[in-house]
Amino acid sequence: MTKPKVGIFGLTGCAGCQLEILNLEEQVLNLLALIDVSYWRMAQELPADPTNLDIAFIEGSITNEEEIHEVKEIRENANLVITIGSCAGSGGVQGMRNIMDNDKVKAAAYKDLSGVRSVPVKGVDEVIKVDYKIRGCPINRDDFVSIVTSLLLGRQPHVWNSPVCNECSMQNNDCFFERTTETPIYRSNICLGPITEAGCGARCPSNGMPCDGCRGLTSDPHISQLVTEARKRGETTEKILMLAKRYSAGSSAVKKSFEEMR
Amino acid sequence: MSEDKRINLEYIARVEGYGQLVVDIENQQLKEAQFRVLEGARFFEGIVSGKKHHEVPIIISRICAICSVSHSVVSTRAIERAIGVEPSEQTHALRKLLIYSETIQSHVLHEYFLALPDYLGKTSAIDLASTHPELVAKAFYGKKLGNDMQRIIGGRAIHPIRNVIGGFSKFATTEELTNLRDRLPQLIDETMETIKILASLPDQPTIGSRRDFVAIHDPSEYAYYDTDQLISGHSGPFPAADYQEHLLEEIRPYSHTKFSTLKGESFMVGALPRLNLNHANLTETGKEAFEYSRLILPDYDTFHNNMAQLIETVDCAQLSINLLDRFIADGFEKENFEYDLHPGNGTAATEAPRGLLIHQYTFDEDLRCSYSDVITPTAFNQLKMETDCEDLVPRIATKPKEEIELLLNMLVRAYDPCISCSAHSMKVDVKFV
Ligand code: SF4
Ligand code: SF4
Ligand code: SF4
Repeated sequence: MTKPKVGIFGLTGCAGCQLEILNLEEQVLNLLALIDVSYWRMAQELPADPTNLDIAFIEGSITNEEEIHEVKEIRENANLVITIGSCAGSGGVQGMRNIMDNDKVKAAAYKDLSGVRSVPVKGVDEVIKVDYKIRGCPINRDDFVSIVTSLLLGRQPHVWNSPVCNECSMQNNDCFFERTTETPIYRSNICLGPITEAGCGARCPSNGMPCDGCRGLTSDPHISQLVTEARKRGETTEKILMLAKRYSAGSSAVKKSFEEMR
Repeated sequence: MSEDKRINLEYIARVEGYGQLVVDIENQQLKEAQFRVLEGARFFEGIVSGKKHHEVPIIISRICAICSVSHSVVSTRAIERAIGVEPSEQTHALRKLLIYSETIQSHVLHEYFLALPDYLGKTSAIDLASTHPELVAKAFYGKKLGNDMQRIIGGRAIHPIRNVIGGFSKFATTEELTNLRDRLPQLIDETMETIKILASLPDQPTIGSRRDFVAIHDPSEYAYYDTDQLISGHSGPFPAADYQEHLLEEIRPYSHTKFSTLKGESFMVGALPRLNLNHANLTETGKEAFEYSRLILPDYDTFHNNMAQLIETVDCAQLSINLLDRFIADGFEKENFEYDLHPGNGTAATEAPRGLLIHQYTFDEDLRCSYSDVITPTAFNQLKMETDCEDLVPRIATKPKEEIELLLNMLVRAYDPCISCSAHSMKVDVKFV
């Protein structure tokens, strides 16, 4: 069997998802025994052949015209397109400028705007067909290996179809919504675990911080229930939605889920 | 007739977008060197505006994965100053441990995967694996250890969770700390060996100009984390909070990023500047590494930043051992998070692996961010990369183009401009006019 030819591409993001792949450490070498990486600009100079790919992994969101063009080219050259991380999946944190006053956001960052050419932030599937999305900001390396292995074997990768709360209670964490003490200065009083897709092992609550939804909405999110719960705690709907879209304001599907809720 | 050459080093500068270094050579003279940042802006200073104090560090760490610990730590510290939080000594010590961990993983990754292959005539670490498997094994050992330290102290290797405003949301267990402690001596030994190897290789052409350096400074230790003072090699210490007065920013027409100058001149930040300015406070183990390196200070040669990173790897490993021993012996005390928060402005300066990193924030009555300023090491170094070219190119302009390309690549790589903007993501393009 010839090894599948793979390309790993980075658009606009922090490179954390690609770094998480490098963080497989020696396991990277095991992976390299199964696949033939013909394009990965972050890790190797040569070979650099982004054509005729079996799988293209894309990290980062689309923020300008060149990237729109680039993803179309990747799509034409790949059998399977898999996004890695919430930037590529749904716009990532930089997508928040879509739902803020865009000009003010830009002006705060750059005094001179003449050189800044950008379009509203988009997840990759806003522009091309995406076959599979690996969730998280960043992705989790074990998740990555298990999904890639499934895909290589022609199996459907595991789908959780359940909220982070399920994993959280298995870890015996003290639920943030059930605490009676005052909220400490370092965190929000809202946890997005109830509407967020599991798979991270409830990473944030297990480290003492609320989930802020980096893995995106679960298949049947009870958004209005969460909003009611959060409003009881004195938050406005607007602020709750800004929090809930922290990683996904570049996704029209997510936008639709929230509109349906309203 | 001599040829005119245009050399185009493209790479992704992750914070501010897509960048390139364009070098124009005419009649064996440097006509122009420009560092350009062109694309993919993410507008972080904009998207944190209006966000609550506790939201800002979570969002801002996404500027850069490989420096995410530095962004998390410096943002929490600046915000604490702004809103009236003074964390415990334990918190400062834990943050130092996090920064040492990041410095180890980042320096190891840069040295073995990006810099050494050039010195040994290899195209990549994968290429290196065939001829120098022992170097690649050392690389994986150190990188994994640095990552495990970040994970165990910070809760996640990339974008740490536990470092929060006022302290830490969770502590590691004694077993976890002991495991890390026991793995560090091997890293020290192996890095010493690599320093000897690098010291035995022939030197690259030097950068001769004696330009300035800037780093954070603490008279009592080799500072990697948050100090009140910055220090310049030429003009001495000044308060970190006054950075905007000293490190002037200018906008240039060919790039929309800001270029930093000190007294109108370019300056360098990073491991070599830190070593030059703060070497007296290296640990004893760090001093031993320095001896093996055969560097003579002050050293103005950008290429020696690679050696300085290896020395710091040893130093950070020793500093980590010291702190881990303390936490293993004493355990952790529960933090006090009770403060009366107030609006205000705060600045913090720290050392990311690749150099000085400054964050400044203002928070309003509602504790929402109304102003922010983030200056990254690569932004500080931009102008210095250009002036280094002015210095280097005239001396190498007669060499064949492949050699010029390689040397300029090695020069830019020596700055370790953030993995996203780094090394093997660079495309070199030479055009003969
Ligand atoms: S999803 Fe998160 S970790 Fe991945 S590239 Fe985007 S910001 Fe970085
Ligand atoms: S994920 Fe959040 S809301 Fe769900 S159980 Fe855990 S702490 Fe509670
Ligand atoms: S707990 Fe939530 S925010 Fe944290 S990693 Fe999991 S999905 Fe992401």
